[in-house]
Amino acid sequence: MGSTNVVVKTMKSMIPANSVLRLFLSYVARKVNSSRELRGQLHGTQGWLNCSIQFLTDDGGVSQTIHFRDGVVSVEAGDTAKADLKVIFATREDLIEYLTASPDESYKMILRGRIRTEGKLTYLGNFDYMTSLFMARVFQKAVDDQIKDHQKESFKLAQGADTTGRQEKHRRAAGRIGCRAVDPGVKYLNDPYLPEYSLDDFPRLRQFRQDYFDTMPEISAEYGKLMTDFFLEHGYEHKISGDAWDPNERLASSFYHVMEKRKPCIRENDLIAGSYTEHPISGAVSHPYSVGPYIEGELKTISLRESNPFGISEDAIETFRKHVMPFWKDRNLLELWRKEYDYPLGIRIHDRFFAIFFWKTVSNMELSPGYDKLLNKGLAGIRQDIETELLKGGNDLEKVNTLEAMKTAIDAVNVYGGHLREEAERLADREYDLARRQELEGIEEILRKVPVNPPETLHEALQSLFLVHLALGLETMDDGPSLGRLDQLLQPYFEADISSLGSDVEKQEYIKKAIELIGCFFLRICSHQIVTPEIGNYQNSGSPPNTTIVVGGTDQEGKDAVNDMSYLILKVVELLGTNDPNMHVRYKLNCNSRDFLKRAADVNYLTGSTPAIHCDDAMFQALSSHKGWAFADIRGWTPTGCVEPSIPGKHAASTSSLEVNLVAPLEMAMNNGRHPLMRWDVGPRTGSVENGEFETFEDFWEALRTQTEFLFEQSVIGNNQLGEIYQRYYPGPLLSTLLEGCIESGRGHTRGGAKYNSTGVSLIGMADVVDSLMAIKKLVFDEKKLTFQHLKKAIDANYEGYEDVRAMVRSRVPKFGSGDEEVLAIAKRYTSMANDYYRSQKNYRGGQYATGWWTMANHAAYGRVTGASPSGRLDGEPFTPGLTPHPEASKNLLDNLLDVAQLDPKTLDNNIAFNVRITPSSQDSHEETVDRMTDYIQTFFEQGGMQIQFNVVSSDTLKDAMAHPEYYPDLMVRISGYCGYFTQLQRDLQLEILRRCEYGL
Amino acid sequence: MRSSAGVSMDYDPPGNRSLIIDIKGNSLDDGPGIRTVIFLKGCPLDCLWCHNPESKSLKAELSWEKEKCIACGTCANNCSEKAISAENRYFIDRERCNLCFDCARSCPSQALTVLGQEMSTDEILAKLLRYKPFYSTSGGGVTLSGGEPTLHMEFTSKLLQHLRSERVHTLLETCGWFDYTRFKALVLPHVNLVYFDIKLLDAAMHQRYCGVDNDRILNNFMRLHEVSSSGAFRVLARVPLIPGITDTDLNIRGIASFLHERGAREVALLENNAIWFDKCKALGFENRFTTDDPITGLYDPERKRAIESVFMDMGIKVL
Repeated sequence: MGSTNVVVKTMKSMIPANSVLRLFLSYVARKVNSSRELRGQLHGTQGWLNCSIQFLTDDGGVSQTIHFRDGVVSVEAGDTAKADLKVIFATREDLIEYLTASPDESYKMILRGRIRTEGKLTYLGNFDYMTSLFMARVFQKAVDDQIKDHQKESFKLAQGADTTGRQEKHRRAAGRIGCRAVDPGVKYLNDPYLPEYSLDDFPRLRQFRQDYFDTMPEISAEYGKLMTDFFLEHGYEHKISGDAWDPNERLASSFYHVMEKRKPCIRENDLIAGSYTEHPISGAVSHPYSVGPYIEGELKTISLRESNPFGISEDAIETFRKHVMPFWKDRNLLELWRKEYDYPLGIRIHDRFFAIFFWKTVSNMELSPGYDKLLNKGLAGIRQDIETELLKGGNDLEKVNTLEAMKTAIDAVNVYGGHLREEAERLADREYDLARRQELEGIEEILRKVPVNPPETLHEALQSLFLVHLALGLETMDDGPSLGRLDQLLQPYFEADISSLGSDVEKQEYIKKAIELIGCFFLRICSHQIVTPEIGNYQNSGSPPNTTIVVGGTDQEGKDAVNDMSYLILKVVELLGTNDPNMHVRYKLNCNSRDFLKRAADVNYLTGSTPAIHCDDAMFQALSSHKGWAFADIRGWTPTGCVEPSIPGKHAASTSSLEVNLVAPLEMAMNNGRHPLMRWDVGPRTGSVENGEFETFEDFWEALRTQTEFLFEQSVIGNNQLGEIYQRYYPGPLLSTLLEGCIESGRGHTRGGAKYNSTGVSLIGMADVVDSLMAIKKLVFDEKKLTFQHLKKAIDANYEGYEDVRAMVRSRVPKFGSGDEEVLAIAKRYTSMANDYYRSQKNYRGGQYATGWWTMANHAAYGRVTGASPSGRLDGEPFTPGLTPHPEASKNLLDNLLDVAQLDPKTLDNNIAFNVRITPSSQDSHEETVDRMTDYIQTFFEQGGMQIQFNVVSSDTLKDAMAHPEYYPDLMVRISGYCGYFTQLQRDLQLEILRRCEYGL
Repeated sequence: MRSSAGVSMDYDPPGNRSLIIDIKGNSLDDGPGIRTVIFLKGCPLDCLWCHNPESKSLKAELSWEKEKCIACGTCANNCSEKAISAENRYFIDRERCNLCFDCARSCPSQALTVLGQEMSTDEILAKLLRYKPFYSTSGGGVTLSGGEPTLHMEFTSKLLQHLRSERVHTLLETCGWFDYTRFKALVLPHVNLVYFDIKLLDAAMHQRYCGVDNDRILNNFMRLHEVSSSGAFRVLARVPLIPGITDTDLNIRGIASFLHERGAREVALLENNAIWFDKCKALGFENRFTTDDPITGLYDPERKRAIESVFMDMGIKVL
């Protein structure tokens, strides 16, 4: 609705808000009612698109409702019982301001609680879509103005900035270093760093990479249409016959329909067949029961927006608007949750963006399927296991239904595989280029075999993996599933291929071929994006679906698992430098070689931001604290989503279910349960600062703990409700076949069938809370330099007029990451408090909750909705990313490293994201720089550290990139646990990355 | 004997405590690997271009950093000598100031700070050893710098001894103006590496620009270099390149021949940089150069290459 401006601009100042609103809504009504074309937009394949939206203000005096009913638009004054959705403005001024706001301003108003909604949020899309039809030009102008403003600011910011960053990537690549193989598992690579190859040696990959950066992802309506078709024909709530659906049966049947009817695509010149959408270079599936419905209002404008725009055809818009959206408006995860749990408190908190975001409204796919099983058995083998289980008989109806659905889901993949094979055959027949024709025939041959049967070559293995990975993304959501330990999965096929070759020349040729194949596989993976509404850019701007891959670490017996494939995969990461797959390295102290760690640092340097590097020792300790988890399984762990641990093939992990703002309960504790910006007495009453009700620091700690646990409790209740929604509607039978325990028990992964069950939480703003607590303890209670009331006044005033208080906080209170023992003790106490709470909670699958300290882009988004903090942070400023210390904590990077390493791994059992920005000295050689990075990482790990990565980019380069994005299309930065392309990031986030401490090297 | 900088040769405070200007962790430019550098206060030389002017005096000093000041007036209210005024270009009237440091203690933003904190060896060691894991991984250690660490011979000795007993690599940066006998007895047994500055070969020039003559410095270098052949420690000559003063052809060739004759095979060249100008202001005086003086700019890379070749022609490797 940000598009609805200027119409009232000229008359706004003099007229009371209610009249302005009425005028505007009447304008919309008249405009639609008088146009046959616009009214036509109110009729879909399932009838009229009706909704009633009431606009009102908290300060009273404004209330108007717009009704879209059977093709007629009307406006009604006063209260109405019929509204599907209430849009509530804090004040009349906010209403007027909103009507004239730029897109950015309007989102900020929503985030700042100046506007909130009550009721069915997805209904807003109808209204926004209708207004966008006759306001596209107005919208375009608002965006253009905003871009121009930002550009002006960026030019100013970049004045005098060094521009050598434009050539930096090439400079680094030119200095590639080599290494002699030392790892016992590396059998065929003489120099595992493979410095002899550059992207120029792989024309196919170079072309594909270029296409990837040049192509705006195109939204596809295919998936939504097929799903809708199916349910219109067969029934959704129950079968058309009136019989009840079994949840697994319903999902498997619709999935079969989709896989059978979708267009089989083989990208021109590609070696791996299949695609997420009919746009094989870059597309977006837009799952209609997940985030799909939120973009309805933006369908006409999504290609115009400033960051992360998507392409969409008029046909696709029509399909979404008239066919897909109407069907899923009440059937998406958010609305199912609202309806089936009678609008619980959790959803009220969720709708207001300030404290908990329930990621399950988007996805529950952050886990790692058992791809080893797929490769070992083929889908036919797995299907045979299911048959065998069914033959055991018994009268467990859920089991029978679940297993039958698993079979259907497997058949669905095979049907699609068959269509792809036919497509390959068709393309081969009409191909004149002999070499390409042979490739296509090869693909056809491979598809005859996989994924039904086990692969025997590297090419077959990659094809099988991609097909099933793709299918899992379509079965429920394509956000998050991990490929896991790809080096371990692929090494046997690599060895089988290369060992049959005689000469060294042949082997060299094959190694090159292997790089090309993996490269094609990577580019298949990054050929899809998740469509998010523009406001989502504040939360995870520039995030890909994050298919995580990890190399290195130990095998199940604890032996060094680094192999040829580990290095080949890292080489592909170096060459492509894309943000998906999300690349990770596991390093086991005293087991993996320093040369391997050094190569990870080297690739981090070459790409600027990837891979993320994890220490097995700390992670083993963290995961061993989960009762009943076998150590051999723990040794097989893989990062998932951003960084979170899961056990491949055994673990329903949902590692990114909850995103909790830790500073919100701090604000609530300072305000006796009230959240100031939301103007909402949401928390329990825990005492007033103004009335002097905290006599000791412990008193205040108790208040904070109570508020924090109150929010945590809401997060658990809401998550478990959403979990039950998944059990009823999105059980995932195909995925369940790849999780140990599900077939045997006849329970899918949402029903607790997997061997291990847990739920992952992301806790945001840890350093800000800890620094705030330290300020309160030291200045108010220990040294008594300030009264609590005085500090509170300063905070409430955003330190305006209290500059001395802020200066004192900033210069005299040590921060987390400074090496100060006392603040470190608070940090440990705080992380334990949070972990103790979650660990004590059971999820809906009988597993426990795990706490993670990574933040996606929420540290910026939640900072936006948070007033000034006792740590000296100003109103609206971002928090620090992950659990990275504040940039002012210490000038000495080693203090940061040592403090973070001191935290107890058990309290970090959903991992951390620790981001350090460094700029190497121009005096140092490539080798010296990488050696130094390796020293930091190794020592950090030896001291107990869990996870780290570097952004190797200078402030000057970031400034130059903001002003001149054309030179930096592929400048990649690590946000928290994911990477994004800097020039495509939402502006708040760009500034946050710029503000991060820059350590010289 | 006194140096012209007013420091008595006999000056040698007891070894348990000393004034420390700064302890800088994660230094990558002061010796091999990841190092911590500890800066001691006081120097017998008075070099015109001194990059650490805050390190010259043996006494604690008051520093005022304009950018950190929030102009709250707390300091002025706390000053018994009425030495602080916002109208004053340097903020503090150094004539009036009695160095009680009440202002620094009361300053909320720490724009006013005391340069030179008295610390004991134990306190310092605790800070230095905190980073020991990084020294081990990277082949780094601790660097003693200043000021002039050998002014505090007992203290330096004790500190180095402790570090070596912890198996931490030690490096000493010195201007070379020390009593060799005491140095040999107290410092040399505990040091792995000595960075020895040779600035000007001409005695008169040295007297003029550095405040002392260079006789004892050159003698000390010769002796140290000779003893270093035992392999117990290494000594590396370093030459600061100050435009128009130390980087003249005459001086460079002189130093190169001097090193060559002593059989030194390595030298390090330190480029002049101008970041120290701001430090002067914080201490209440102006630097002695105008902005068009080459000393205020970045060092000319071509000149540096030319100087490097002078050394290399004599078979001396430039590090």
